Amino acid sequence: MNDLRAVPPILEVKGLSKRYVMNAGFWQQLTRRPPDLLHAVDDVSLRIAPGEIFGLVGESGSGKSTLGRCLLRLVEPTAGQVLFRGVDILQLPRAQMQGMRRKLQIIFQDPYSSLNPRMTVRQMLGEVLAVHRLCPPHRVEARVRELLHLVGLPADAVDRFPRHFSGGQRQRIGIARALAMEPEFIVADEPVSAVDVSIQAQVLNLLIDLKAQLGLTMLFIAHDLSVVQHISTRVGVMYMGKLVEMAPRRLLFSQPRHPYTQGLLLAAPQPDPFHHSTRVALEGEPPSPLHPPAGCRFHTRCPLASDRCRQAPPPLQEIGEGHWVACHHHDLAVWPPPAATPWAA
Amino acid sequence: MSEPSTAVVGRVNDWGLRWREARWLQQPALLVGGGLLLAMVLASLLAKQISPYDPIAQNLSNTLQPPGPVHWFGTDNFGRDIFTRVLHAVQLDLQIGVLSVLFPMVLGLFLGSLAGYLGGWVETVVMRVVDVFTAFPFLVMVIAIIAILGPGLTSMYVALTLAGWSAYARIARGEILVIKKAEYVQAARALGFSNLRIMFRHILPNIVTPAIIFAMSDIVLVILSTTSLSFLGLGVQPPTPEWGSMIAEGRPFIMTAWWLVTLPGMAIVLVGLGLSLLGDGLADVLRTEE
Repeated sequence: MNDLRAVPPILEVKGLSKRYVMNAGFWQQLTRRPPDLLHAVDDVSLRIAPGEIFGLVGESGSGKSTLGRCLLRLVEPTAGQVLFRGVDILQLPRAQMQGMRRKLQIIFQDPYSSLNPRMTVRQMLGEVLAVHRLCPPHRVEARVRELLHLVGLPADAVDRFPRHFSGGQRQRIGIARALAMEPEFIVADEPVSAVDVSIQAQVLNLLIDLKAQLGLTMLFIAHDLSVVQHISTRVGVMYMGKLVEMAPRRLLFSQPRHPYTQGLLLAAPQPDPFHHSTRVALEGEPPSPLHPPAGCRFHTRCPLASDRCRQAPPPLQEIGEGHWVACHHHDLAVWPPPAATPWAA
Repeated sequence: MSEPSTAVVGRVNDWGLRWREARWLQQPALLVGGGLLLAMVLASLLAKQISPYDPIAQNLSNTLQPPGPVHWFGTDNFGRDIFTRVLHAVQLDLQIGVLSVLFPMVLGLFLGSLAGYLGGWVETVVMRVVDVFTAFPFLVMVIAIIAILGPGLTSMYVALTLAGWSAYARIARGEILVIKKAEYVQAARALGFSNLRIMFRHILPNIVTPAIIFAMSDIVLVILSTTSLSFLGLGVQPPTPEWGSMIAEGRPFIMTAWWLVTLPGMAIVLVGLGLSLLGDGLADVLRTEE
């Protein structure tokens, strides 16, 4: 995993942007006022090697989910490329894209809204198998049971409706539905943030098992660094649509270089009742994404902000082996911070 | 992999399934409402056995008899037995009620779903047309359309469809806007399903519930408005027995022979009660299913 450039990536994102046009109402059109633009994802590039679990972390509104959905074209990006095994899927015509969807699947955040309330588990999984002719009709029943077994659900779950299951069980059904397509790449869009803490570990372990068993590659989206720490091989951190830091997991947790990443690590709760944080990790709210600050978008909250940060946006540059940071002052960002308990990597 | 809790799932769900099967029978409103309507339909099917009188033939030597053992609901100004006429009208009135709700419901659901799902200019066009139709008072529009087409059953259906579809289009669009964002619709897209399949298998089954519940109360309103149309002479034409036209014909005698107007009116009340109860019961059953 250390030399990523040696392996051809299974998925490569180049300069991906998604802009939403806001306020394009009748009055705006009439007065010809330029509409407000919201940059949900702004010029993000990354490569994911086969077998990797790439953890993508950011606050809500940072564009991480939009990025994940762009990879499947559930949201059409405004600019950029998404290369899956060298093919730009954004250029594929509709018919070919439907074929490509077999290879790319998604697990959703909310297990309560991601399952059709009027379909039994058998109908849900059977529909996938039948529409894509993934197995002959007489094998469908057996394959459905196989999938349920794979995600650790009892065989008698087949005739139940989603309302009969707990959140964790529903999430397993969602995973089984994605696996029915026999995908090579899965976007896991905060798959554990809506389930009970006690169930989170079970679902995470299931995903790790499945990854090993089926040789999956995953983009794992989370708003919480501690979740990503367990599961990913590499981690990327997003802030207001920009990728601000990207590194192999150990490196990111032991030597974070971006002040925002450091702030996130400091903000994470410590399992130590006597621990008192000696300084406020991140101050203030992120500014409005409709009017992002000039220069570095983080400068309004950054302890190291200088005039340079207010004027020029820092490029994402490689400062070490596979360690990318977008910060003018990454060499000033000391870690561990003085007088604070170091984060245990 | 963690151990799934088989035992718990099994027990809860077996119970759940049994409960589901029996739930239809646990709704008193549903049973009473359905029973009431069923009884009325049965009575009208057996009208010839129940009552010996002819609903249309006049008997001018026997006019305006008060209710009694011979004529249960009395007779009208042409000497016809009112009970017989009320019975014979059940089928026609229910048919009018159901059809005049079914047509606008289908049309409205179709256009509203299209608007909600496709969005963009389709939505703008459909919803502005809906606004125009909603802006007209219901009865005024119905009367105007019937005036253009000429009185009769067919033009009444056409008029009620044109005047009534907009409410269903609004319901459908509103529901679709919510459900379109539901992750299971996104999932269906990610799974590479066609738009048609997403529309009919994943979206429509989840939006018909509110439309059906609204339709139940709408039938009552439609029957009432068709009776007012008949009252105005624009709906069912005499001598065909229909509650509205019976009330219209009895109006001049309301001070001297109350039964001409009141007893057909009671039939309308009963049907309305039955449908309201049925609608309430259906609402409970269909909503708890989600």
